[in-house]
Amino acid sequence: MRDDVLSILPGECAVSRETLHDLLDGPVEAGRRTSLEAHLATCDECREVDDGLEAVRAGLRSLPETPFPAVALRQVWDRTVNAERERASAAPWRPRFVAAAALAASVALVALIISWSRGLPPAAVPAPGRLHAEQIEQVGREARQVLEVTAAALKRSEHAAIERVLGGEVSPAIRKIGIQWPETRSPADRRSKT
Amino acid sequence: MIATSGRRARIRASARRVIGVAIAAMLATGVAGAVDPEIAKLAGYVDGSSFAELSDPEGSRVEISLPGKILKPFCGALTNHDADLEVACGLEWIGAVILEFEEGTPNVERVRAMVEKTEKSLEAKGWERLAVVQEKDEIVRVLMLMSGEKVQGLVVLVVGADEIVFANIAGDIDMDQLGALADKMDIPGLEEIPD
Amino acid sequence: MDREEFELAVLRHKDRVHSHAVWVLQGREDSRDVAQEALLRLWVHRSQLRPDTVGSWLLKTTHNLCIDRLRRKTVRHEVDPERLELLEDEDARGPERSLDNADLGKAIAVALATLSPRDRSVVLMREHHGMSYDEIADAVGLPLGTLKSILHRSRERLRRALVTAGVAP
Repeated sequence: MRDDVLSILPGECAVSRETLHDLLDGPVEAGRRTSLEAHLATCDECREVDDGLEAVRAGLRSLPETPFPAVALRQVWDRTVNAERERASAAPWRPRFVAAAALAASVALVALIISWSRGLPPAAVPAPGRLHAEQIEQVGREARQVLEVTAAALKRSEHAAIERVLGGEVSPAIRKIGIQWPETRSPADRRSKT
Repeated sequence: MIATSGRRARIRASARRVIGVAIAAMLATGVAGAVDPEIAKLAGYVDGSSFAELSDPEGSRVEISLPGKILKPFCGALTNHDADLEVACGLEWIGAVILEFEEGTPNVERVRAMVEKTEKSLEAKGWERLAVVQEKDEIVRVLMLMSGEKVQGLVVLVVGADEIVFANIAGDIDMDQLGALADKMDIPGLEEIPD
Repeated sequence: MDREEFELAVLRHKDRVHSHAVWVLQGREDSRDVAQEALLRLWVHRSQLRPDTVGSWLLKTTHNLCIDRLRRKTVRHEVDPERLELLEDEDARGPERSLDNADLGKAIAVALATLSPRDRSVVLMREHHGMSYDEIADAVGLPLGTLKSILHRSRERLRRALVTAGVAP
């Protein structure tokens, strides 16, 4: 390692820093280790570097892992082990998203939920390919569409309540859901998003 | 207008396909073409099928039917896919009819009369009107059903110059989460309130 | 590797593979796809692999997929200076302070962004995943001497970033 900083350090410090890094990679010869220990006993800065490198190692080792999302794991199972099982069983009938009989759809749903909660690939139910992830996305889109319409309408109601003095028509029911009336709100509050 | 041009394109795109989810949901309930009796019993559920009949061949129609049987088991996956969908986890029903018309909403007066009739019949069942907001060429009505301190149902009815929207959500509705979703949206026409 | 061994390997390594992609790609959007692709490739190549070599094979595949992704699109990997300043402005640290794990974790995550994706991947393979020099050299296609230089340089940069952040002396 030819770090710019090392090249301007006193000779002993440069050597020690090199040894410190090498120690993180594995054992070093006894002679180098002895020299390092002797130097660290007298050099505050190199001792701090030693502590700092230990902190780096500790920090990296303890980085929390981000779990792989369950829906992505579903897709992996669907495209690997489940697809292979399906081919192997050569089932004459396979539930399709739209054409499934109500009973089959319910059974598939229950089985998916059970196997999902265990984090295991569903073994008993013939998988409808990748449809479940797409179903989630579709449900999500449709739900969001309606929730946005509703939320926007509520927001309009809130503004109508605030504009009451200008003639918006609102009812006392609006009080029940905690929308603040103008007289209870400071000008700063009206502009606040919280 | 509720729909921005981007949303209009998405609505058109989704209208071109039959809503597989709705069909699968209906099939899962074993009764093709009718809502699950368990859903129909929900206090916050409102049947919007009469609005679907207002569509015309020149326009588009999107019908969305998502029962709790689909929302709840997939709640984790849905929120993994889209964190804003957390509010859907407490719901027993999400339904909508969204109609767009190329040549303008036909028989606007008839539609408005139908909407007012729907509103009256809901009020008779304990629903309360939250607001009626008129902006430019669009009227937005919001109705709410409360049970104690909780909101059990919301209905949104929009009649515009070239669209009709009926939306209904029922179940354990978290208004804070809905509010948070609204805060993230760029809703045209909502100006800063002057001091 | 048979089907059952494949299933066990996926369950054992999926989070590690995904995490490596998250750290190298510094974000999550592509990382899920990369991890999924790595696991699918494991399926394709399963007959050529033994269970004891799967871990390093998967990390090698993940590394290559990440580098490919980054080559395909322009991604700016910059440390947000405001994040570093935030760490500096925290309460003054005495010389005898013990390392706070949360601070260290946060600082290391920020510091990793100062490395190039390749160097980031290499240092993680060594320090987090515990791969040997030979395994890493094979994974990234570099001679041992070059690899050693990269590791030393990367550790030093991370150390200095931790010093700047006030979590190392």
